[in-house]
Amino acid sequence: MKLFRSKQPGPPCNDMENLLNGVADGSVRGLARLFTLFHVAHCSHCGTYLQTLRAMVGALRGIKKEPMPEETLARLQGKVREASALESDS
Amino acid sequence: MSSIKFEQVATEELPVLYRMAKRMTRNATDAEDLVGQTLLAAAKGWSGFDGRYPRTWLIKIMTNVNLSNFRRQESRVEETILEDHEPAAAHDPWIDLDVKLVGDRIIGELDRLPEEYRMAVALCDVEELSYEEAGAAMNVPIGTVRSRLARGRRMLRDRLSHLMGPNPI
Repeated sequence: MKLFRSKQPGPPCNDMENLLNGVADGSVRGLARLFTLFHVAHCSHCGTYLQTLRAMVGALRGIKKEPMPEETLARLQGKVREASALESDS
Repeated sequence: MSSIKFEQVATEELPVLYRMAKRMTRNATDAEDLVGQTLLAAAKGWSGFDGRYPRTWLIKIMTNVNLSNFRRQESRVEETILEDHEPAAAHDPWIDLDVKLVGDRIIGELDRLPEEYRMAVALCDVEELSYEEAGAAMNVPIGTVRSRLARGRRMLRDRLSHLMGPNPI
């Protein structure tokens, strides 16, 4: 694998995609993370890729901050109680 | 499972279950039905649950319930396909009205991903489950979670590239 590529826009380096994904979501740590960040610092393809991945993962994590509609929550709580009664009977 | 109460666990996990059901069904009404079916199945199986990772356990039940619903629907379609020759609409214009805002747009594009990629992204990125937990919920090994997640993110990123910054690839 070539460590760096020219600073032209384009897709990330093939062997880097899993590492970039891991850095974006925090699952890659330690030396692998340092290696990836070092690579990113010198490779604009992977740098741009990581930047957009981080933005996207951040936006996806924000989805769950939206509260559930109150009527829906009330109906589902009713279903929990129904299921709970079934569980108590069994 | 006597040490923790079913009602307490299920109530705590309701928002996650509802979001996951929406990702699976892509429809609020069907999502509520799916949560209801999941709760009934979970209540029946509660005595056999070991108490570890209730979220993963509930999502796994939901995945199985959704799969059996899908199979049932598929067999119904096979039964009626000879009678009904109306072509299905290729694109629902109402979906476009629902994705005006960025958040809605992201959800909209996420819901358009093929199921295995949609589930990987929803479990790992939206619900922030670990790869191990997501693998357990989807009944697949961690390597499969990793590859589905990478592929799903790539597809989503391509579809959202105009929203993600000044210099999209």
